[in-house]
Amino acid sequence: MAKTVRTFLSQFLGRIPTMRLGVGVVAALVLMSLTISITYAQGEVPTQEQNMAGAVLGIFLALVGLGMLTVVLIGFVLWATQTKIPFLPQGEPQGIARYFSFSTDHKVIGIQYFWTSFAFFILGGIMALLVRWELALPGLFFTTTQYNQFFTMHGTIMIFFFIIPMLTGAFGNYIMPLQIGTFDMAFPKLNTLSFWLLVPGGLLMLASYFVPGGTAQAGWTAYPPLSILASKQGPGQLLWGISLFIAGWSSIVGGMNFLVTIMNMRTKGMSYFRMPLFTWNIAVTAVLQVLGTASFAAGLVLQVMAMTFDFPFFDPVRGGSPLLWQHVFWFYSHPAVYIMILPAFGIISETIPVFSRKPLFGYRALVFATCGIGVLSFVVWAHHMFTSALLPQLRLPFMLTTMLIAIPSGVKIFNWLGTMAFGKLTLNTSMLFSLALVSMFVIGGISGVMMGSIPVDIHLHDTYFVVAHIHYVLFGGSAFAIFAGIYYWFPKMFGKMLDERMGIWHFWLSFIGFNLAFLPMHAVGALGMPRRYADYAPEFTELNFVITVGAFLLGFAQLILVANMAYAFAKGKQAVDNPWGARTLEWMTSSPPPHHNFEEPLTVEHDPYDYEWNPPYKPLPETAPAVGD
Amino acid sequence: MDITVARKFRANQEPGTGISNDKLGMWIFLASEVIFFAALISVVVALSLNPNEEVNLFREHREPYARKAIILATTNTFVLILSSVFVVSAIDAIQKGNQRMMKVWLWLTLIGGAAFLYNQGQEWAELSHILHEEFGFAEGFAGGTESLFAAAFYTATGFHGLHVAIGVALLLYVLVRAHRGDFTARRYNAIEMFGLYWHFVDLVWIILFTILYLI
Amino acid sequence: MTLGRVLALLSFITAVAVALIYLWPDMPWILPVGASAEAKGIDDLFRIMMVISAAIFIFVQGFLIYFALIFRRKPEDGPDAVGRNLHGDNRLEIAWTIAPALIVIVLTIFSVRELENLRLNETVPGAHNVDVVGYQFAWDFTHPETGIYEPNMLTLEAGQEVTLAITGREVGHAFWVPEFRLKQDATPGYIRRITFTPILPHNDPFFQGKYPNGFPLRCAELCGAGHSEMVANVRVLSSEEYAAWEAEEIVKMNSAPDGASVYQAKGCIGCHQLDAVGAVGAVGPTHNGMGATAEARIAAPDYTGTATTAEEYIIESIRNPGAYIVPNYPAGVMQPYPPEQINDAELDALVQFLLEQ
Repeated sequence: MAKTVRTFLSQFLGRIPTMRLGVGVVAALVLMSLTISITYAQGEVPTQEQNMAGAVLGIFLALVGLGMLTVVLIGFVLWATQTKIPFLPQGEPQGIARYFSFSTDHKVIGIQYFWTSFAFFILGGIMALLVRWELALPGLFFTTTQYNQFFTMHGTIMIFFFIIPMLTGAFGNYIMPLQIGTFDMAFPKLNTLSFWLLVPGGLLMLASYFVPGGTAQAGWTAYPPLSILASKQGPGQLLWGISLFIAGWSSIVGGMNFLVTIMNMRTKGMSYFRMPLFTWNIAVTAVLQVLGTASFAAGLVLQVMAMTFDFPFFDPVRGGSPLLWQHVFWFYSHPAVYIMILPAFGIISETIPVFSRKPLFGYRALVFATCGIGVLSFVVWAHHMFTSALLPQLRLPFMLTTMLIAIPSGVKIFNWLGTMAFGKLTLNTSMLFSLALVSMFVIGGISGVMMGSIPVDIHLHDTYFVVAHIHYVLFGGSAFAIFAGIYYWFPKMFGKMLDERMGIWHFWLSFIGFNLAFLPMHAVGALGMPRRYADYAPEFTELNFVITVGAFLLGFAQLILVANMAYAFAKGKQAVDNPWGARTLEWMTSSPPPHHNFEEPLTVEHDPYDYEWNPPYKPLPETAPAVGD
Repeated sequence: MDITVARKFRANQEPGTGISNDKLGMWIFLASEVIFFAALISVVVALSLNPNEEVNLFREHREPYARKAIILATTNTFVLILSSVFVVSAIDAIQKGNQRMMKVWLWLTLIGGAAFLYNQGQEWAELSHILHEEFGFAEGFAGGTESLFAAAFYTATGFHGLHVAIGVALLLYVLVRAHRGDFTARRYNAIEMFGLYWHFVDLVWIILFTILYLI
Repeated sequence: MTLGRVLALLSFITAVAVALIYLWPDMPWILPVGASAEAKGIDDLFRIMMVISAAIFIFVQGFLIYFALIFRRKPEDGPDAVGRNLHGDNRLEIAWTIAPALIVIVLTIFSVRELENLRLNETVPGAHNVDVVGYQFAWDFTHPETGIYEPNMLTLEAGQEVTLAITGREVGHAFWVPEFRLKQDATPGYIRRITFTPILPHNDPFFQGKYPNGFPLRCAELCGAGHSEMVANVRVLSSEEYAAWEAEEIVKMNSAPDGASVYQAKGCIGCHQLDAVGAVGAVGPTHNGMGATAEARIAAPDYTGTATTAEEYIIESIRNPGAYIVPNYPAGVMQPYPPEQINDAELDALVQFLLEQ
């Protein structure tokens, strides 16, 4: 009986592509009606002025997103019950079609993450430029509500749809299994699910641009009661919450996959202390993803309940408290910032030894520092709440833990400098971005420690000083590492070399634009400009203008990277196995690797940064430092 | 992925944790679920302490309900604990090669899970009724708008119930495989994975029950 | 350049930076002037941090640039050239774990000491209390000891310690005066206190005329569309000025007349009709709907008075009723009401009352 049902289902779903499409559309329509009825049950109906075409597009995108979610989840259930899944490829599709399929190959998934994250990077960047356009001069160009929407979407998109998926989903997915010498992840199908959960999450976030009332507007921190109030202006705030809830599943499932893979699937000889530091950082990041994201999910559940059913969790009049969200939110969001920086540290811990042609200095210290940061990241969260209604006795303990977490980060900086010393440095684009990270992170780290001190934080909290700090660590840190990683691993992933000269231009314009944009923010904030202000007192005009100029320079500099990648695909030089002469396992196979990563399983006998050893691999081009048989 | 290729690579690996991928994955996934419920439960506890009001709105609405529903809730807790014991018995049975008893225990577990969900529904109806009678709140879910306790109760037990329902679905899958004869004395991975999940769901309920009814 | 020379150069640059920081102790390039007694302690701590940060920054960047330059691959290096095979140095690791730890410990000690000076969330005996409520998009201030209520402006006395009890109404806000350095979130459902002492009046020559209306109070927690507009003034008056202001406010509070009672006390009911107080006079024009009527009258082509707003019209029709006679009503019947008959406060209340009709 069960067999008949299963056969019928698989034939029904497999028969005609339109049938599958039909199922998806019906499911989406059902979910769409559900979502719309719930959101409009709050009482707001679109007014005449609202753009009906936009609303329809938004609803369509939400429909597609939710429909896709349904298809993905149904597909998953069918897999669990071992029903033949007709829309999972029987045998891998070839060529470009792979990247639009439910492939289970971690390399394909890594590239799917790469392009999705990069697209959101561009969108998040446009949001930032809209913010800076408003702040170039005093006075209002946009409405304050639109402005609130710009910076809300900028922060949300950059954090959840660019940095985290790019570092963990793209680089983590693609590179980590190669680095530990295995053929795929522990759960390849869960890996597919992980990516295909991000897509509907992203679509729902995009849908919020087009619904009446526009996107979320309560900041990426979405503090209630403001967020609950904002949700009454339209479904945007609710879509924000649902989108992130789904994207959170993606993160948790991914993290779990990474941990099991690293713990159980390392190739022979790859003991824990022979793993490359990028893999170590991905491992600790995965722990943070698994444990932290769930707290955010709980908070989002409470917010969605409050928005949809008017549950009084955050309303003091009815016995609730706005502080509850702050605790539950920051319990995740502090580890989240380490999710964003640890893989970045991992990337430059790969590039700096390679481009210094010597081992990583203090490998074990770096490993312990990473683990220390991971553990401590869970006990510092209330330093985001020093001026809040936080129970006053809690301030001091959190200041102590916050000061403590500065120490392992400092240790890392010194070890990277130690790696450079007495090396033979190649100052190519990847290395320049890596060294710039060390430099910029010192600044970001210093401003962070300053704010860890409660008396000083009381003045600096919620000002542009904080904005300066977060961008020094997230752009000067995470984004620079992503660029370093792109220039380093692009040949491996896509089999083509990026152009070095364009890379150098990209680097210098980004570096100058970045510092021009964010250095003055320290001053403008401490001098009295709060963050999230659409307009400011006239005395802040000159600094804001300079900041805007820097931001636009930084923004347009990214087009060079886009052009570089496009050029590489069209006319780039073919990449060899190991253009950089590195020693980690991903370079011991072709660029890009074959389907199961290595022709034969490897046995590791050397450290990951051993330059006394010449591994056997195919010859290198004349432009790269060559070591070979 | 060619199975021979996978086997070739798996034969050349470091010892690892000694725990199978599936079980390790389930433990890690459960860790994230623990945090999810810990966060929800902390919020419920914080609300029950309710530092801002002279009148503890949470407890004011809880007392009449808890008094009436305590028998039902305690029974329900017992049912869920029993069902966890049944899973252990099922694993014990299959370890001894006893296919029949394994299936019996698994069916009993399913009955336990279904009974729990049904009773949970009864409790919801009971709460809704009491709030309507004693405080004049709206019936059903809408009562959560005015009553902090109802909101917390529905949300916490709702998400727990959702996890129980998912567990029941997983159990159905395990039962299908059990009846197909998939499990042997040496291979019963799926039952263990399900058991882990089910014990976790049980544990969460014990904590929730304590917070919502007892203290 | 040898290592020794580099260390010397970096030390020199650090010394210059530290000197600059101490030569310019107010750091006007990054901090606004301190207008509270607490600002000094916070600024001192900030200055220590700037000094430590400068040293760390200069040395780390210095070594980064130095290494990048001298260890660069040279043209004569073959493609096989590798760097020195150093894996680590335990003594160095210990040293550069202890050094940041010491720095952090020092900063923590200074911070804890300063924190104790700040008396956050305490009720302070002898301090002047003010209740602060942030709402969308302005501030309410009430001085509970005198009952004085100030909408969107706070008046304080120089040299007098003040404790603000801060809360929010519908969403979270944050009270922040940069010149005072203290910030506190205004969260609905919670009252949190900060205590400080404004040192000088805002128009004291010390501030060089930069604060003609008082110090800026800026909301520092996103609160909706009006967040950046939620700016108010905090005036600090000298003791004499403050006492005078307080007295005046109290007088105003105590004698603040009620519009309706003024209407009845001054005899308007004799000639005018107003349903709100049951007046049925028919000599002069009706006062029902006065708010809208006033607007219509000044817009009418036959208007002969000088008022440009409804409020001015009503004032004019009381202080100088002959300026315009409503058509079909007798001229010369209503006499002007000078201040001796109806003072400014009473007039104000009356006008507001009539505008609401």
